Amino acid sequence: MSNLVGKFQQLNLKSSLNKEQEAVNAQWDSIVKSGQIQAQLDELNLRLRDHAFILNTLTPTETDAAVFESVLPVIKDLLASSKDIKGHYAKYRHILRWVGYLQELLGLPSDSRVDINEDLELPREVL
Amino acid sequence: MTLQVSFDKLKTHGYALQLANNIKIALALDLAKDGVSFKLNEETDEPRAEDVKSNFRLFNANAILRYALNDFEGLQDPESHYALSSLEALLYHDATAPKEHLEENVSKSLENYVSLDKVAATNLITFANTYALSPAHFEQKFAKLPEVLAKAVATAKLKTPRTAASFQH
Repeated sequence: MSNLVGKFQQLNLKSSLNKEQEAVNAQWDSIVKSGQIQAQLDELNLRLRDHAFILNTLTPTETDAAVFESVLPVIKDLLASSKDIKGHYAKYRHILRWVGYLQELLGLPSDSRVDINEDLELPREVL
Repeated sequence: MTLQVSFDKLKTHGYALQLANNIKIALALDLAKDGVSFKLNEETDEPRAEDVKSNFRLFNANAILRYALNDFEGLQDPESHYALSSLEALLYHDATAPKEHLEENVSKSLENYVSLDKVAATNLITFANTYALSPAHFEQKFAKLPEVLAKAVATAKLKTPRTAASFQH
């Protein structure tokens, strides 16, 4: 078991899932395990635009923890390697909101966190 | 619930991944139960199942198959890890992966995981990924497929457009 998922389990946040949520869980489990998280950032952002957490639960689930662990280095690299920081913030704003919440919840040390600039002015999102 | 489902005809990835996705979607269409039904949408090129009314949407063929069968067991089993982390990861890179590495993974799956008599989602996903990576290797070990799998493979092949590059398979 990965570190962050283990840490998440200690928080004891349980949600019972319906069939649709189970299917979405299976979907993101496949994406993480097959190494396709970077290719699915747009889908993840879309999912988090419409739902606070991946499985449309009131509190985060183990799926959030597993996807978060996989997304964290990708988002860090993306923000560190690009000159278009504002563009990436605008494009992945919902992922960044979710990352900010989860890194706080899981008590990540500051050197492991994505440094999120909450003062950045972003263009209005076009839906 | 009736979901509109479409086969994978995307040109952004290779034939083997398309074939694996389409075998899973053909199986989902054939084996759907517990109140799930599918209507084929020929206008979309992406593997997808969606219910327009509720805005419920799946874009991953494994999840579509699991939803159709209402079978979410075994996600953390070693077989499921192997089917996704090794076989499916290779499906995304089958054109560039060394052939020996690919064949070794298929052999390991055939020896340890593939089971043709179980109709559980995890086994069907392992079957589709293993078959699509190397149909010839698969058919050396299993010359005859059970009817439900043979039908899914035939449908998937019909729905999977071939390019010149795909003929290496």
